[in-house]
Amino acid sequence: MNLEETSFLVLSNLQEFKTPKVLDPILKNLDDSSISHHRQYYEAAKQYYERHQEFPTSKFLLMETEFFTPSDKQFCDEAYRELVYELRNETIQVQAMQAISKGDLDGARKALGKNEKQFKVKEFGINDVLPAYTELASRPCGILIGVPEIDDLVKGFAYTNMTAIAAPPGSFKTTLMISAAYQAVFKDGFNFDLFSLELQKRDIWFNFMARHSYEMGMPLDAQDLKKGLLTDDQKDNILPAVVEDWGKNCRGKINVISPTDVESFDPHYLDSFFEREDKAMGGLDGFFLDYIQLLRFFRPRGSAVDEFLNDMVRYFTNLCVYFNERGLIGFILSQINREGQRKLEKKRKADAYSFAEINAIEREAHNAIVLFADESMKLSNNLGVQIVKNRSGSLMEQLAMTYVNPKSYVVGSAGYKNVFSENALDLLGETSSDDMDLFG
Amino acid sequence: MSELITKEEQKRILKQYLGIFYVKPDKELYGFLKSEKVELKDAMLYGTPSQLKTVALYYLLTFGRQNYTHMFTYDLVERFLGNDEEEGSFQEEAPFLILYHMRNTMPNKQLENMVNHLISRREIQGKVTVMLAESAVKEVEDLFAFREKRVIRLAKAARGDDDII
Repeated sequence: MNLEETSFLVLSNLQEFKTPKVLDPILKNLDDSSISHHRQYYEAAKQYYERHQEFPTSKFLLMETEFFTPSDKQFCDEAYRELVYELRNETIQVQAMQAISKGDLDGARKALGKNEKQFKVKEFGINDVLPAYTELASRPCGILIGVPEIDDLVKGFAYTNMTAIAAPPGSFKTTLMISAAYQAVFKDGFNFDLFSLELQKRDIWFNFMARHSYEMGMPLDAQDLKKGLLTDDQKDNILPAVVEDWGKNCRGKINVISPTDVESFDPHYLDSFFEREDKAMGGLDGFFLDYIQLLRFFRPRGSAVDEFLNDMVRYFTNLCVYFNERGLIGFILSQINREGQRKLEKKRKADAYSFAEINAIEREAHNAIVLFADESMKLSNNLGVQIVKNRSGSLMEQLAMTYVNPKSYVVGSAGYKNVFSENALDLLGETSSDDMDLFG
Repeated sequence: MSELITKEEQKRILKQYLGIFYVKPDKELYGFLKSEKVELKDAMLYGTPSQLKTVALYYLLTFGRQNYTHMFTYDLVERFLGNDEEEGSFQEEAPFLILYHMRNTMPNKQLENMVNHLISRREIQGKVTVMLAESAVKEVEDLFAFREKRVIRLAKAARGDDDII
């Protein structure tokens, strides 16, 4: 490997190194090479190491060096992503070429992200059926999302299945995601990655705390948490108790991931990202992506939006099917198009053709769920849900109503259907004339 | 805990579900409907506005949550005249429809035919329609009687009727 190739490799994996000595051979010969401009990165990295006793991430380096003028800073993110993408591609190509020169074709395939196993047919015959079922039945085959109206019909969101959740803006997509993630992770002990392209990690965690405080019987309003409006008692006593209880009793693991944690949405990079997550979490069960249309800002320069988003949906679907031979439970959130929104408003009905821009979602998804809430429903704890695609079972003809509590990030309640019973007569009997005001 | 829905939330949920039928129930009448075993199928009931709202409550609570909608009989005329573009036809397509005929509905020669047409069409489609009327709608009553559906008079609502409970 020549100096240029080595330097690319070192810079793109800088944070992996434990000692600055590793840089010395490179720095010694850098000035006479075609990559003399790399010196600024190494100098900044060494200064950082002196202060923190560890190397910075390559992104930090790029931000700190004078490579970018102040006016360029606003483009830094994009430039960084492109540079890392180029570095990575160059590194991959160099590794592949080296392997080819040694006659190591498998090594070349591996370098290009194509593992050897992909080139071999793994046999699965009649004799494998019973052992496979025994293994499958020995563990939960998927998760429930805590919405009886959906769970009763779908009977579990299984490994290898990708589910699309679509709704117009402000129709509780993120609320359902938090509620389902809480059910799967805290209550049922699954491990999930949650890609939040819309909200900050902090806000996602505040939402989880609002939900957990509700479950503990001392509800904190998520909005108060996010705006710093808790009372002294809530701040000093309730919130610490909620955090402590989560730490003690959460059965699974949740990793909230923001775009800054992902260097690229290139499939090769994502493959290794999910592998790392799988190891770090002791087995990754699934992921949530909130929401797919926002990925448009992370596409490689020059690529068409629709094409990129459709490819991403296909990538995540394949990931769900093939990940480590076990599969993943995937949830992709999506907006719906105007025609779909209009149909919901007029007819209280949705279909699988309402997913904004992205045809692949309706084709690739195993299950598709549409959410809808008009103003009156939002004010009255009602949310319309409709299963518009279900490869393993039946669909819903129209929206079914379920319970929603946006302050505590709860969707679905086993007690909801009991509201519509003769028990309500007593409640109606108690009401005053003010309560009868429909606009009250 | 998530199974618990507070009383205030229950009220809000019920208000949204019941709409104009969110009223204090007439428990005596409710008991009568239960004792008569009035089922969730096509029926026509005469009564006062408060009685008819209790009837609607009976239908909407006794048999669990219904995927229903309600409309006034004159809405059909409005739709025929093209004056009701907002709601479209989805109201008529609901699995369970409560048709309400007010005493002061504006007279229209075609109104009863339109109601009969809608009820007959829905019956063929396997959808349930309940007619609540404050005053006599003779043609519609005949249709219900002809199809061996129940016609129940709760009060002296229909002029000339003495069949009062």
